[in-house]
Amino acid sequence: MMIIRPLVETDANALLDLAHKAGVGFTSLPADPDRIVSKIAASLSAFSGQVDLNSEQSYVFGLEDTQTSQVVGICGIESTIGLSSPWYSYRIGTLVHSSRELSVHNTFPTLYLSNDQTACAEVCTLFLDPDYRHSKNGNLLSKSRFLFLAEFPERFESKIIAEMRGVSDANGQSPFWDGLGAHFFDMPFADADRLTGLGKKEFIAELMPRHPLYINLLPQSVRDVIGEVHPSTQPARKMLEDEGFRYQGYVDIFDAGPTLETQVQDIRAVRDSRHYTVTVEDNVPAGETPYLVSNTSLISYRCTITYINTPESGPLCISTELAKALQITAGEPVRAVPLFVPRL
Amino acid sequence: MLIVRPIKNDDSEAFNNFAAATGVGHTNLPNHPTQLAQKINHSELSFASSVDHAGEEAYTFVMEDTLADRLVGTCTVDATVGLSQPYYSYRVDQVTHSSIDLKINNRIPALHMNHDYTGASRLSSFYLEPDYRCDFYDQLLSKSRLLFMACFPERFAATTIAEMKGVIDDEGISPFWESVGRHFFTMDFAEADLLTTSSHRHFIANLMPRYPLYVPLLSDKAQAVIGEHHEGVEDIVNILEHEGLHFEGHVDIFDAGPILEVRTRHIRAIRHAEQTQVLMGDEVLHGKRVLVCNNSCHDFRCIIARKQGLSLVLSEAQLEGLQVAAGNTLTYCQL
Repeated sequence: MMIIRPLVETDANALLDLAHKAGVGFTSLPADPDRIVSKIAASLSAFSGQVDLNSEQSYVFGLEDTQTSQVVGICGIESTIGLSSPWYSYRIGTLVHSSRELSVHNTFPTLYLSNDQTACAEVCTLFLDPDYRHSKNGNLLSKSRFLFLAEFPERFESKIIAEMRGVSDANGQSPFWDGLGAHFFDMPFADADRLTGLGKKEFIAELMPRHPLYINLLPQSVRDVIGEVHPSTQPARKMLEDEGFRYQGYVDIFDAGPTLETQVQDIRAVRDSRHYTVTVEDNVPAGETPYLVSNTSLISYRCTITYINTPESGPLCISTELAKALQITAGEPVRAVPLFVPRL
Repeated sequence: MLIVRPIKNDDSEAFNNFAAATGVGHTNLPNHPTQLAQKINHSELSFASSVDHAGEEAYTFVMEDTLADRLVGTCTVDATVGLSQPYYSYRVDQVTHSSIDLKINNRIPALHMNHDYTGASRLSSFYLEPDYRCDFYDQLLSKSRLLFMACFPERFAATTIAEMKGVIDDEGISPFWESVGRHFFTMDFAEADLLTTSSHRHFIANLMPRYPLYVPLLSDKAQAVIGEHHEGVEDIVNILEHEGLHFEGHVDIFDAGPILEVRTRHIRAIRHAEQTQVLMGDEVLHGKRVLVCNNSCHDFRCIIARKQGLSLVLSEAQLEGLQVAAGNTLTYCQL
């Protein structure tokens, strides 16, 4: 069985393996033992701490294969961003230059450097071992966070964002970086990307142009990729959009990948999820609909996928094996929601 | 003899021909008869006015070949720019982007739209017939207005500027316009250029980019012409630079041609201008070339002569050309 749970200290080695598989592009999980240890410690502190939206809490979950007890995927939620160091993005605004006498009316999309997403929650740090990219593991990994958000909304800012990887070629070259960022400091995209992962994004942001940029004046190669995701990220974008996330004109300052955003309460899996009291039986016939199901515990949070027939109201009958995996007993509550948006 | 004098209504035919010959990119001499007629009228009023400070006056001169009985060139000095209509230019500023941690220190030039030259005097509308671009005639024409400024400093501002035509190809295409202005105006350079001379100048504010433009983000072609003058105005640039005008990073917002500037009292011809009582004699054929003018505003006349020794001696014809008599006080400076 595949199950989501908070990261623990003993996951360090497995995370290092994952980091090597993820490669340099995955800046939020660097292949550095010390940083992995501190990342786990920070996450444990978030799960065990009091509610505090005045500091950045980083909740990181692992996807465990219960047969091997190995963590094969990782995902995270930040309670809030931009408080310890500035959070930068480009906002695509509109400028109209008009002259009635000359019958000229021009609309200009313009990039504004902004900190607008300060004090938003963020879903982040998603990586799944390529060997496990099947059986809806990717959906479980990504959407398990929504049940956690539904259960503990007080721990997160009400608005939430997700940064999508922007367009880059096979050699890791970003057209947006080459046409814009590279002019402002002599550094390849990979280096800038790495510094971002090291938490030095603010240094880089200080070097970026501070004045608004007329998109029409930028090279075509740059214009083409603003707000566009890397082809490999297209499914992730679609999944988030199905859940209610929207592109609202904010893009990453380095690769111009879109930032998707929504209110936590408007995420489909949050809004439609509900509590069920469980009954436990040894053998439960599998239903037709994949459901995300989680317990209601904070530090012992567990979430997985199970196939059930749509319950009208409680109780929800689950197998002994599932109850054990979710660390619950009969009569206790679970939170559940269909894994996918129901087709009407 | 070549004489520079204020333009008159009778000069309009030749003036129109000059404007037709200048072509695109010479915004101060629009090929537009009504506007040119207005320019002549405005000049006549300016020369006739009694002013004690620089205002809206614009003094337009013509150069006359008295032997050929023909007008061969024109030039203007505007008392001020930007008072009734906003005067725009781009200033090339350096923005330093620096990070000690990353060992990066980059200086990025950016173009800032500004009104820095509001209230400055301006040398403009220079045109000289091709067959007269020799024998110091270009210097006579261009510098006669400087001597005029020396005689009547109260009519001009503390700063003087001159816009140099930017790089434009034979088809009238400006690389800077194609890269910048076209996006904002959605019209050809020539069309926009013509509009600037009309009463529509304020349209610039409505249409041009309001935020600074980072130079490295512009096309290579556009970058290459910022602050560069058209090869056809090389001689004028040399003359004005010799007079002390220099490039301080301001360029035209349409073609990015350089705008030269100087403190008016530091202009060489003004600094070196002297007054003396003129003597009559045979025409001096050797000695240093000097610009000489009478001290009249409305009947201003300026010629090239030569000066040997301490006294300024002019022939009867030269005195007649200047409309003065022996013993009158004249202003002169070394060419």
